[in-house]
Amino acid sequence: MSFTSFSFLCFYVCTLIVYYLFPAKIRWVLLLVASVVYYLLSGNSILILYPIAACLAAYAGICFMERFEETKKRRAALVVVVLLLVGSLFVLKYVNFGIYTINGIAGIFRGGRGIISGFQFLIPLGISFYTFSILGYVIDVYNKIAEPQKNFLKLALYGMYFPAILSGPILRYREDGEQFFQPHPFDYKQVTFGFQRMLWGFFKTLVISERMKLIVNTVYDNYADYSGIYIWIATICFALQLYTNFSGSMDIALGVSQTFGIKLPENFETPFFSKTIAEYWRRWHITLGVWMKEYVFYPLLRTQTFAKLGKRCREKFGKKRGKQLTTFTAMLILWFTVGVWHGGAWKYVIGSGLLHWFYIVMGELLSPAYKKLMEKCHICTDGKGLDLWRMIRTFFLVNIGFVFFRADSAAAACHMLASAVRIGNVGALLHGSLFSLGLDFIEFTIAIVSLLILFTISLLQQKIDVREWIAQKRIIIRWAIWYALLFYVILLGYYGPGYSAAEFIYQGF
Amino acid sequence: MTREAAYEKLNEVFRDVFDDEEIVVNDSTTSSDIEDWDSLEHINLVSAVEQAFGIKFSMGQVVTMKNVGEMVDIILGQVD
Amino acid sequence: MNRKQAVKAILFAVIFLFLLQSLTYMLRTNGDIKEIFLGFYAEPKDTIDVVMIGSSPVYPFYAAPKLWGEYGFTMYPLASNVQRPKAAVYLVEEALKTQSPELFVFELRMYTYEEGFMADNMAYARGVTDNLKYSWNRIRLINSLVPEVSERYTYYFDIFKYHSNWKSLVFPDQYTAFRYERLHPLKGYVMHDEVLPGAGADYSDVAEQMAIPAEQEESLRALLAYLQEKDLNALFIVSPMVLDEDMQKKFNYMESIITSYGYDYLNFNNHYDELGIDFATDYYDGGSHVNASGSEKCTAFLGNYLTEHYALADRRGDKKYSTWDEAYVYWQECQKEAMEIINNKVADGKYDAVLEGE
Repeated sequence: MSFTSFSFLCFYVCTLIVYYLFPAKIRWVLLLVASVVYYLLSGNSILILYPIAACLAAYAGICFMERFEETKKRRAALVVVVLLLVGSLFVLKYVNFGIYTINGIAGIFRGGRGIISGFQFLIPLGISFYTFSILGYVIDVYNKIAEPQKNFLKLALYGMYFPAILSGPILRYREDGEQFFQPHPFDYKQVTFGFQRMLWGFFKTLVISERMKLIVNTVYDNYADYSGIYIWIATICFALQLYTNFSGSMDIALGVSQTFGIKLPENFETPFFSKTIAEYWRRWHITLGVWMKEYVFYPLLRTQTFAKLGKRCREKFGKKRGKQLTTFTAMLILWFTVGVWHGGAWKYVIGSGLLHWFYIVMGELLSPAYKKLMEKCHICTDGKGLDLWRMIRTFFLVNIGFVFFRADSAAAACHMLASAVRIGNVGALLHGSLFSLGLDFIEFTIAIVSLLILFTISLLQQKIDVREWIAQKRIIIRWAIWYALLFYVILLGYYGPGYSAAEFIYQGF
Repeated sequence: MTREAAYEKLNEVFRDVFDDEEIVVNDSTTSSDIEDWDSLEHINLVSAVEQAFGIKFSMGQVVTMKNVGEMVDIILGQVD
Repeated sequence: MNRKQAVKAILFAVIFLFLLQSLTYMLRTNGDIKEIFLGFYAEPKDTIDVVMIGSSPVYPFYAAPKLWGEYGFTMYPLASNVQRPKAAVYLVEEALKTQSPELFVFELRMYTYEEGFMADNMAYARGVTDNLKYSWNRIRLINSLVPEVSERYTYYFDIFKYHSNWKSLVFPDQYTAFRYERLHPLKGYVMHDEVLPGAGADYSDVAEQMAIPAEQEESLRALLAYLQEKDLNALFIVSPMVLDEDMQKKFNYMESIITSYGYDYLNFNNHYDELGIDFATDYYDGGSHVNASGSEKCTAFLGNYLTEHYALADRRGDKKYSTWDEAYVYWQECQKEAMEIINNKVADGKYDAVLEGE
């Protein structure tokens, strides 16, 4: 059930009302029931067996670990659970990617013919998200930094909590888990702030994202017909589309949770204001980055293999280079994983993975040279001008990744990038064809105005808590602001008969 | 090992890892106090500390330790 | 939640709903039908003597201002294009909320059509549902016209459909519709001055009957039963148009049903001579709907018939009906201009292409 659908709104309102009618101590039970209902109503209901099975596997594995204190046995249980969870994720989502790649390689030798035929699987809702939330929990219990949840139903709520199951945030049990089961008394401020956050999410998705989508689709779905500056414009629009769509959905998810008295982790911190790629990944899809760091990157670097590799590299190439080489190798694996998580296709592996690895490695390698250049040109490294330059540069690099992410394929992306730099057709743009890409002059203006509103609020958010600030104002002003935003979304949002429903890009994940 | 001795050794490790001879750490030092101490360097630091003291941090400790004081506590817990 | 918060929350919600309602009323697509319904709701309580319910023939054929000016009673149309017969009962309910008419007149054209054809296009359902004020009656009407439950919410909350008309808010006129009331200058009548001749034929001697589609017969019987139950007076008419033998038979079929319930039936197509209708000059779309010339004749015929058969008081001179006097004066001016244009077109042989029909 899409967050921006009428049926979800009805479902949510009913759940909210019943939630506060329930006695506080067992409100979590209602949330579990609601999450089950939500899952059943979101597509093929039989698929609910997958997340339930995942929770069961985790629960069984943890019970086993609790019974046996010996590391070997606990380890074995962990390995089994990890294989089960990651295995099902792999088979359901990625086996076709593997097959496609194998066929591709075999095809080179067999004149285009593959050797394995692909499978058709129905992908359960949120599998990429709940798998990670549950997996993280099992690993934490193994590492003894999280208390095992003895109540299976409570664990099921953690794994299937409906605001987070659709598209995250990826939860960490030891941080976010316990609050699900605490009694949350009705808090007027939390509920109103939650509503306000949801409204902001609707603004981003229905008003901005949907408009950007039109331009993006026009160019990307007919990429052979477009070149030069059109590629750049469509890509920037895609960056904005993806950002407002994803972070807007997060606003709704977190807003909904806030009305229940539950605080989910943030997934976005105005990422386009980042000054480096490394910083970008601390501000974009934050919970994914955190998860990958804790459960892939660190364990990888702490394996025997890597310890040995590190030693050999330091011996051979010196301390500094050796350390870099080891880290870069681990990062290669990490970024490949991140790319693959986004999708079983090379464009995702490159666009959200290997390309960023390349950026970070280059950043590291070039940083001493860069520093020297700054000194030579007498540029202050703390200046605002430099910050702005770095933000623009980072945004530009990220957008190249987005070309891959959105294009039909890696090959199409290369084609588009090539044509983007080869052809200079800025002139054509200024002659009005900007308004024939899907948004006419008026719609385009609305998009720009809405983006300016978003930009302004994002800037303000760096300094103050905007909702708090508004809450301090007199009632007439507060209500005027909220009514204005409400009706702005109601009038200018893309919804209802005549518009296709707002799809969420990360929904099939 | 005494706390002071631990800190003597630890300072050396920090200076080595971050390539800065001026670093002095204490109980309340956190990652925000040292310029290059990001998540990437954290793991290198942890490995270096493990090697220097001949100990092993658990995965849980690696991700949950909040400041250098906690780190020293763990070190002292494992070293005689 | 304490009392102060509860009050604030409720107040916020109430104001929001009021604003949403007003906004939706303003944004509903402009057109003849919206004007007609706005006009109906604006009429003062208990001032309408005759309410005519039906589809597109209703509002161009019968000029309420003329009926007032020359016969002294007030008539108002509740019409929409391709109005599905099912809707009639609900429109009677809606009318009875603010009016207590002496007579209801029902136009029967749509009863010969298949429900499937009409139900396919949401515009026909919305012509009625999205021109009513919000009420339980409206909800029941929607449930009756929209079988697919999952689609109903865009009717209940028609803002889903009309919010894209936001650009119309640039025009100050839009805001006057916020209560869905705005007096109609010609009391619901829409005048045309185009001419497009049609090939009329007289089938008044055809006596056979042919069954109408089952759903429409069901709707007709339900309507008749409802009228009986509420003890309401009703007349069923068929407006003059280009028809064929089958259609005449279907109208005959309806006649027997209607009279069996004790209600009156009048098929204008059986009275071409008395009407004086001329298919060469009186139609603007080739024989389906009349222009000002044809409308004057039909209105006169209807006026005579109604005053003869029903107890309708002559209210001319009553100060309460001053807007009707104004409407009659305005109608006379428009009629004069339109007749001149029509006569010129006929004389020159310069005819118009067909406009939106039905």
